[in-house]
Amino acid sequence: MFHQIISSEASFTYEALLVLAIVLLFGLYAGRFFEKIKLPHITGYIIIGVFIGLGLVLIDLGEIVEHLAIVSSVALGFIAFGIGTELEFGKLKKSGKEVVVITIIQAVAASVVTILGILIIGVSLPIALVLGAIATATAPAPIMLLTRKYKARGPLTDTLLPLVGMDDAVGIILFGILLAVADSMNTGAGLSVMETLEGPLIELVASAIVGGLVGFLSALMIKKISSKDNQKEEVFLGVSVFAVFVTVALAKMGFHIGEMQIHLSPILTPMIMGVILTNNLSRVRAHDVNLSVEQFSAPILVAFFTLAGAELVVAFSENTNVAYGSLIGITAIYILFRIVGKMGGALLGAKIMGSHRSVQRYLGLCLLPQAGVALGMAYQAKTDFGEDGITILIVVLIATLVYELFGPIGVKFSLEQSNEIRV
Amino acid sequence: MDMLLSTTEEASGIAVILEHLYENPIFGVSVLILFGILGGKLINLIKFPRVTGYILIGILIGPSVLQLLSHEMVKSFTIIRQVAIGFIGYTIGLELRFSKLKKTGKQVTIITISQAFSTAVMVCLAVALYLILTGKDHVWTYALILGAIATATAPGPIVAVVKSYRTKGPVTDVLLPLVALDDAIGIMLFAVMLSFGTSLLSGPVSLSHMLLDPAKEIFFSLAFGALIGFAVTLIAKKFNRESDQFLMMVIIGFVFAGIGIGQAVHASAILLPMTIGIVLTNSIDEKYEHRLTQTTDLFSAPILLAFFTIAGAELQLSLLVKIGILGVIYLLTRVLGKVSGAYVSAKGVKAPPTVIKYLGFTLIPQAGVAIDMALTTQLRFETTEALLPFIEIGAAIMTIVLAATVIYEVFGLVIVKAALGKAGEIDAAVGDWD
Repeated sequence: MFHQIISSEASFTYEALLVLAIVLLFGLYAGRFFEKIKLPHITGYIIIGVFIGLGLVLIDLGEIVEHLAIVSSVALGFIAFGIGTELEFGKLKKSGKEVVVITIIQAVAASVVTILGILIIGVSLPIALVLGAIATATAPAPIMLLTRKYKARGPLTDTLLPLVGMDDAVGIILFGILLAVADSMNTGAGLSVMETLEGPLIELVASAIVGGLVGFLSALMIKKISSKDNQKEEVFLGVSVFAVFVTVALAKMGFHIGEMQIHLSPILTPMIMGVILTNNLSRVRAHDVNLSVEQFSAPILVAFFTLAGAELVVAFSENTNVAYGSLIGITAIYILFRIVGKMGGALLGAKIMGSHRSVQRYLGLCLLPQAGVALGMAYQAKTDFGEDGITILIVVLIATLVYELFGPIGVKFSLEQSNEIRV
Repeated sequence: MDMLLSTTEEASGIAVILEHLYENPIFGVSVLILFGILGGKLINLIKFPRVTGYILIGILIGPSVLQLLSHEMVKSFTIIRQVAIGFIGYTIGLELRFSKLKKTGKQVTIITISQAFSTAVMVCLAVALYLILTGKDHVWTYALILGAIATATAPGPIVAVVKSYRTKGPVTDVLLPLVALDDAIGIMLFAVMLSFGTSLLSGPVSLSHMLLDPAKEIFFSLAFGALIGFAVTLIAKKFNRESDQFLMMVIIGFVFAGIGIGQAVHASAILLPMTIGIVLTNSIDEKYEHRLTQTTDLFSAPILLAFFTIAGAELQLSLLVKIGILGVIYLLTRVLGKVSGAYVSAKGVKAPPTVIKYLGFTLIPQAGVAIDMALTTQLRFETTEALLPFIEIGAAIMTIVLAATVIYEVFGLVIVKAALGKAGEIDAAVGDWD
């Protein structure tokens, strides 16, 4: 029994460890290089990932990328958790009704418009639903970076900043619902509308309960730690890692009560856990917890983005009958219709709330950057969907590259046009 | 999602989850961390080291007691063990700053070698004496191999105690380089004595088994460790204006690479990452090193927590009753060898009085390294044709070492902490940096 412990899978683990090391180191270097030439570093991760993927496929080790899927599942959990911890109820109250309403309207609009666009070119409803949900996601990092760099001030900036904080949370909720609906349509063809919606509803409630419970218990444990404990950061980190891992794992496995099978959303559950955790802690402590978690999740996220690039190549190499035409079509529609949805939705929401003119005109244009959260969602769709999921992942990966390159230009342009740049 | 249960319909949700634990390593890790934290918290009430808490709770939830973790699950955590051992090695390496060792280097080397030899010789003779008196066969095979395994110490728990109690002083100064050097000496000593011991049964053993293999293992560890160490140093120096987080990720990447390469070329899982740490720490100043350690320490904390809990879960309590008189002799003479060897040699090199008195006690923990040696022994018996008739010797040694490890793991760290406390070194480093 004991030599099995050592020998089992040992030959695989060292290769996986080496690939992980390469992915991390090269990813870091590429990210840094891209930042130097004024491009977002996430683009660097993805592009170097493509090259690593090519290399692996050439030496016939492409499947290692799939063995590293566990890294991506965990990364997704940390991404969702991070967004959850941004959602402080106190802050939410302060930012007011206007921001909340605009956030929801632009998210729903981006989603609906994208779904319609993709349906028009004849793609099946489940794929359209998922891509529509992913369209809501906005990358806060480039937006925050630019407003800080230009010391932007004014009505547009005042609406934009609280909005991006909330946007992804709304996006994840939408995604959680739509993915569950799409899943249930995929598996249970011929069900009535009510039956199709029953599963997703249970999933939503179960995710909220489990996420809330884990978040509450974790907050309790973190509260117990004295602030004089010299290892408090390690305990904060330990508890948070436990909480993220347990929500991710429960979502992956599912469980059942009586005869009813319960699925949890792998992205909603950790997010809700994060919301409950943060809101049960003092602000100082919540901040400390976030800082320690970042030390652990940072390398996992870099590996995740780089692996996503590698996955692109591996997916192509394994599916020789890719319909390039339709793939390009879906990608183009997704990119264009998301822009239309975001801008239209923001305009509509701002009009309804009677916001400042510059908010009505330029807010949508500021919301185009898309990165980590979208990739995380696409990755989840891939896990759930099989072959159709690969299409989704490829579309979102390419769109991410485009949005990361051109999105920041829109932000800068809007801030200029609305005279909010103060440098 | 296909993993959902289909058979036990009346089973409660919790039971179902536990049943499928081993299918989802992420869940397994979360359980390890949760219980580890609880164990650390509980043990704090009686002021025992946290690591002992992790190990005890590991025993509790492991296959020996509550069976929340089965053998299969424990087995599936190999990668955590490897990564954790890698970080332990790297951490020890960082402590080996040559400028500091100049004063004590010679002392440490002499003490390390003497305590290793005294332990080996004492255990060897005691085992032989007992077997001769009871009229058993293959006396010297048992004696030589058990003597060699007795030299092994457990660097991981020792370093964890030193770090978490922020100890500082002469004993700590000798202890850290000692556990580092001890690993290299252990590899050589074990390889030679195992070969001698088995040659008594099978006839002359090839020179390759005896000297070449361990020499290769040490050489590869040092060579690849140095190579990676230089790469890390180069990057750390060039990018020293980057954020702490960036540098941490670079180090993690290289430590991972070191662990992977180490397995590929069969180098020592501890020695190779340790060499990375040694090269790095000796190329940068102390302040910068401290900056680099802080962030990696935080990253590795949950991994180590899971690792020590697994270490506890692996212990087989049932073996305790099978330890036998031979096992008890091994257990006690090893302690005697360590304590007296350290005492006499420390006195000989005129080390500070606290080192003379307490160092030996800090060397009592024994864990993974010794188990690995016992495993190698067992494998040698199983895979060498001439040794097949004596296969039960390998199994018997395995049982003794595993059983002794239970005792050493549970009580070892408590003794280490007490020894460091008596030497007045606990919490002595508080306020050094903050």
